Amino acid sequence: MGSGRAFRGILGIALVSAILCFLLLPALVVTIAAFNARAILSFPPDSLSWRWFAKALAYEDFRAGFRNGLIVSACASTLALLVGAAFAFVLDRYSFRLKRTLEAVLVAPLIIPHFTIGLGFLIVAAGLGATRGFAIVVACHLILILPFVLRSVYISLRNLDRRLELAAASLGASPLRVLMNVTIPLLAPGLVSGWLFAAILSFNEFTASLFVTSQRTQTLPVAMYNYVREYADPSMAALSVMYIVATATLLIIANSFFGLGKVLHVEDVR
Amino acid sequence: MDDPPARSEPAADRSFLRLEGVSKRFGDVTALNAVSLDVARGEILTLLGPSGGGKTTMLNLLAGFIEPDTGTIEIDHRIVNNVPPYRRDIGILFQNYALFPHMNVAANVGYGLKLRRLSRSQIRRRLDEVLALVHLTGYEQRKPRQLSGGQQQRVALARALAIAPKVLLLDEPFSALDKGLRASMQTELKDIQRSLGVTTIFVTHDQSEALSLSDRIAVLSEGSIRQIGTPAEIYVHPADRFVAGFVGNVNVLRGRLERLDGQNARVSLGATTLTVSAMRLGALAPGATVELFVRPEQLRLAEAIESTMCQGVVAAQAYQGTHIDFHVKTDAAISGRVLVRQAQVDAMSRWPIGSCVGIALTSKDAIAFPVESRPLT
Repeated sequence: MGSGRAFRGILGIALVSAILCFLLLPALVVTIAAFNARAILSFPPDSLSWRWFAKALAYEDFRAGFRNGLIVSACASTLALLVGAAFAFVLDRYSFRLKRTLEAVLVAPLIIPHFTIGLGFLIVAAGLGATRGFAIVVACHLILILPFVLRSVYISLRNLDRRLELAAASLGASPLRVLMNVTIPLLAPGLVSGWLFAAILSFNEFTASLFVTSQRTQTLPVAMYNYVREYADPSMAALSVMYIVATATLLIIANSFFGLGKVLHVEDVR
Repeated sequence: MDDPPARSEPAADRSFLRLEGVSKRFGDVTALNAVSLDVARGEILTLLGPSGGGKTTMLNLLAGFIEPDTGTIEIDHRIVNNVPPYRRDIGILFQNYALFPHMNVAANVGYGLKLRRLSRSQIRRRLDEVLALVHLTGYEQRKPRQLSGGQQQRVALARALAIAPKVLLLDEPFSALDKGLRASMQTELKDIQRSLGVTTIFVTHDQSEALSLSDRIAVLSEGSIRQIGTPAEIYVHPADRFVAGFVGNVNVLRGRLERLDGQNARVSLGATTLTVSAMRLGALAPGATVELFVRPEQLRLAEAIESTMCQGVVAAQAYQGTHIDFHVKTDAAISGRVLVRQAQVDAMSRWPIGSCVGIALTSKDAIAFPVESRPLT
């Protein structure tokens, strides 16, 4: 009986390890490729090099794409936070006719393919005779990330004990003071995580961005796509590694402030 | 039944808090139906009733969280119907305490004071005062999650009292505490309430809490006040079957109305006849079946041969320290068994389980109600 159990234990560990390896495989392969001095994958370490990182950082399209991406994701996620929080508040606090419809419309972008949204925006922009500037990119991203922000804030609101607000009111706090002293501080983890999640989604968004960006406004994923159509050197891989490191750093910082469990909503907020 | 409580304070303001014809509906549900109530300054009045009886609605109306559909609410002789909660000066102790988790004890207790624009030194002084009152001096820097349940409750009480509220509302404050702590917190709360003389409304569904803490009790059911009175009035002279059944343990025995005699009625029960108040019987004809409501301590066990009012068989005994609860099977009871509270310790060996006993009445305070088709809740 003992050996059977031990065997099953080893089998279980092996299975879990295999699944974890599979999950991390793309990142591993790309990371190794990024450090490769030549265009083939090979150990030993003497062939490692930082040159592709240097090249990626120096490439003007990537630099512009990074700047554009920051502008777009900062604007879109901030706008999404404001709009999403307002709608989340309405959905949590009020009941009205067509509430279900409103909810459905707000989360609809989740089931509409990104290229459809991008194409739609492109047609609208053309129809209006608008130039393909940042406004249209931000507007497009706003729609894509709104459902995520809405959900994040809504869950935080659901977990907020209304009696805390009532207690504050009974102690003399006007509605505005209740909001500033109680509601917003207690919602902060939800608001920040919603904002962060939206910013990352927006920064990484490719499909819709391909439609609505121009040469001047192209974001980093679009720039990377354009690059890979022409060249095939490991600078793409180097860029990917930087992407991963940057995102991980951001999440670690968020974790130290709020706890990753709360940020990702895998843990009950209370 | 509406007599004010026997209190020693001179010239008490008998309608410091006043509800007049207050109704509140939620959709099709009438939560409160034309309720009127006067509460004296410094009094502790309990709203007692089952859930859904309207006590929470009343609390929310007093706090200003909701507005009445009809009627007026007066606090300190001022109509407050449309006054928002933050201008009412009401302290609330919530069931879950509702302490601000992101603030420490000092910030929680000082929150209402800060909003009143008191100076830093005034806040400091008041903070020391109320924390001393609830025996939490030295806990200023703790966060709520670092405190035990009892300590959290004290902080919540200190926070509510810090603003020197006109009215203190207690929303089932003891239900989250374990039994030992509950008793000591009840005593402490009552002491604090008395020493400050703050008018207090206490909401509970626990009748023993209500009996021990209140100056007066208002029994609420289905959105109406069934009876208001001192704990003793409510217990000894319940106004109706609902109150009799809800407050304290009660045995319901089947009796026969022999005759109505002005204020009194003669009711026979087995071999005995007793005189009870005819007040609740209306114009019932002699010979009708009546239900007698009798408290467990108004009954005693006797030898089966005595001319007792009825006989039964001991089904269970429960030693309670100060007394013994006997569950006796008898046909005389509507439910088929009665609860008899016997003081003597030797009663357990004298009337073992399975023995035949007689049941006798020790007081004249049994209450007769006409038989009602509706089941007792």
